[in-house]
Amino acid sequence: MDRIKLPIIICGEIVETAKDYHVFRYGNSVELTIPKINSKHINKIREQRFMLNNHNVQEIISALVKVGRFWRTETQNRIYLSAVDTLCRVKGYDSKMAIRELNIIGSTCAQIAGLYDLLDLELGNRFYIDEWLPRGDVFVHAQPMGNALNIVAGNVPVSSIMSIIRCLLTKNQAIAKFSQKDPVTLIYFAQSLNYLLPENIVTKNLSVLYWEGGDEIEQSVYDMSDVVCAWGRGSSINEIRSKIGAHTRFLEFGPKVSYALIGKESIDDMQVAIDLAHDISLYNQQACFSPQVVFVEGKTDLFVKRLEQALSLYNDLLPIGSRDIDTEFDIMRVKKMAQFEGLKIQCGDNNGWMIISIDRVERIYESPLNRVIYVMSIKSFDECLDYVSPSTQVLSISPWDRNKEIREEATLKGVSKITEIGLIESVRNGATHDDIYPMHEMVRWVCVERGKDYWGKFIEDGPLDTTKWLMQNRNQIEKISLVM
Amino acid sequence: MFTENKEREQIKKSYEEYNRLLDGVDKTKEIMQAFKYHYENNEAYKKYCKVHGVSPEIIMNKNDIRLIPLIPSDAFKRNSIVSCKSNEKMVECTSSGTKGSISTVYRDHDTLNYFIFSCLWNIKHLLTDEDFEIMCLLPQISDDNSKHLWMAYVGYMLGGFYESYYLINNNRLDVDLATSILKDACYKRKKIAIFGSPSIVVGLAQYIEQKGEKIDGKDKIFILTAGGWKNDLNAMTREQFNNSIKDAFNLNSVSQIRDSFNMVELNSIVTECEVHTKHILPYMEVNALDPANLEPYEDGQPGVLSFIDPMARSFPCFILSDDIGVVKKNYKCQCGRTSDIMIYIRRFERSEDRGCALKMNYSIKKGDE
Repeated sequence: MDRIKLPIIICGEIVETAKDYHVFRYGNSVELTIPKINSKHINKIREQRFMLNNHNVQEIISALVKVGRFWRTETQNRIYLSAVDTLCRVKGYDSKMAIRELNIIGSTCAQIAGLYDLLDLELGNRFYIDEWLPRGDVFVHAQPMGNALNIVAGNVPVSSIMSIIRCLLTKNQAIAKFSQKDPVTLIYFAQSLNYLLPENIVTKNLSVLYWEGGDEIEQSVYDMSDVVCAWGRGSSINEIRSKIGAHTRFLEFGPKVSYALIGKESIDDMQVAIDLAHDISLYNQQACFSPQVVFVEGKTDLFVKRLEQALSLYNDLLPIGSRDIDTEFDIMRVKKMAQFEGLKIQCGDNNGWMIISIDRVERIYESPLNRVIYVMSIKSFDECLDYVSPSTQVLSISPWDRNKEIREEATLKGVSKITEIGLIESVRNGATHDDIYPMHEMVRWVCVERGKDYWGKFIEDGPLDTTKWLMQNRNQIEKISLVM
Repeated sequence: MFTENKEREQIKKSYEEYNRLLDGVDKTKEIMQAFKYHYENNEAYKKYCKVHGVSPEIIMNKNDIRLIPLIPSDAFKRNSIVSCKSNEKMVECTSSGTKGSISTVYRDHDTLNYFIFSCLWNIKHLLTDEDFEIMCLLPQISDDNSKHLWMAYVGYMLGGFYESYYLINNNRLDVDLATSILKDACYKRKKIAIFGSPSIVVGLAQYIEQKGEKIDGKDKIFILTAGGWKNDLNAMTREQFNNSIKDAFNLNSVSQIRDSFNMVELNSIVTECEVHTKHILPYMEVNALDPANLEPYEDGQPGVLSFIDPMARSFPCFILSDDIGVVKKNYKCQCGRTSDIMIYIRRFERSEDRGCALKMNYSIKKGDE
């Protein structure tokens, strides 16, 4: 048995020992042990509320940039090497996928301008977080909510980091509950902060921990949270929602499905097929933005041929890593179902990828994800709109210039994002996430009005005197009653 | 189907033939014959076999059995898989739908007979030769209908051979009647079996304990469970289940508690002996498969369970289940019997249970209807 021990992080401090431990098992061969949290840990976190508020956001960005640079460049550091190794052992990643992920995490944090842009674009102006800005006739400021609890999903490691970056940039204390599926990313990120900047205020405002659903400590964490960001499947999100108080803001990033749309111009385009293979292969298709069905305008045969080659290429570029028994079987049973029902199937070696051609959506049995893609012919580009709904996160398209044909109706029907095939993962500056700007929701928008000596746009002669207005109006009221 | 005396006589005769068959059964021959029959009589299955490049001519000996294409159990949720002529009278046997959708398996008279024979054989060889009553924690069904919840139909069929009571009415278990029947049986020193799913047996046991009822089971009460260990048992281990049931019914030994494995797609049961080992009938081929390529694992390695039951005539019982377990061939059990055995581990975990990407399933409609 391959045994791994990881710590939890409480207010930046690494906690390796506890009275009791969680034990997670991965397949038959990997066992991971994590200390259990207790009420002392919770109390320590509780005391830190609003600590970041007295600091300028440039200090927060400075710390994030340093940790981002670490993950981009310190590839021989023991923390980096251990992170790669543990990601592979726990998540079954091939080392290429693990390294790629750490690069993305590093890039997400390392770009100073990018972090400022994020604030500008999500809040409207990055100075709201530090200052009181005039807006209309008032002064507006973005106050942190306080304690931001992030319950992350674990299928896309960088999304866990994104979630805590949003908290920290909005000056909230970031409390992150990791998923059993990925205890690695957040713990190592927090460890790198502790290693690089042990006394930094950002380090001290990050806690990474775990509890089992129903644990008596759970409610105390929910009770001290001012905002909860929950990622995951529907049942998990519903359960979390039922436990948080009325005063707690709840941001949910629930389960979604995504599609790809190939216009007739792109059917014979090998680059498009390669780009689609990229989108399918990322995270072994387990992200919300991973396409599960490809709608092809016209006959599918030629495009399927291109896609077969592209998916084979991606098996080398981004190998699937190891699969557990459940994943292997999930893929196999979908294959057997498709074969029994007479569907056309193309498979890679060892079911490394699979293309199942269907003539209508009712033929879809299940999607085991893991690079299994359904391909369906449609007569016209906009026919795909029959299948989108508020559960659809991303509609990726090629050729790109045709996005205007459907963007209005697709988003009206529920699609959150339209992007070009090949770019499902890139989050451009200004992109929304599941129909919101999350950071906008992680602050309290407060204002200070102007005083009486400010006349504003509607008063000709000041200063403002509400009693005088009443007296003036009384004459008018008396006149009206005399007339009656 | 079993109410006429003449029919009972015929069934008894068939059962005697079944017993003779089992005494010296040639499993490979039975399976090869069954495969040929279904290949020739089931178009859908034949097409499926052609996709795999397998036909009866390919299956020549014991080593070729592993080439027989297995039907995923979920195929019975979406397709009518029948190897008989359409005008034959059949019973629609349905699953309980705990995973959301329902499987339907069509069984003709012979197929049903073989199923009940497997029950009788298991009872006789693994449980007791004596006569006993059965208290079914199941609804009584009417055989005017042709469609039945499989487990309820099993209870109904057992009623053709044992004095049986059916204690669920309008979805409620008549716990008072159950208690009264048990007390009466114990008083009269009659053997009685309680048959139901583990969760409902636990429910009855809890009721008895809460009410302070004294049931003096000793060696007279057997507990026969089937239908799987569902989530509503709150992660109770088998040992905890055994002990709580033994205490509630005052049994002499936990060996009186026997679980059976069955699925609606399977035409035989796999029942426990007195040391709780699940023994496989001599004509069944059960394997634990490597999920990557469906090759049988060596003894003892956990894999996806597959079942080949050549005694089903109305449908090809060559099943790739959703369950994970271990199979041991020619296992010398502590009970003294030697047979293939299986150890059930768990249901496999679908990706929708593991991730946050919303999975589509066959029921996706246009938009979010």
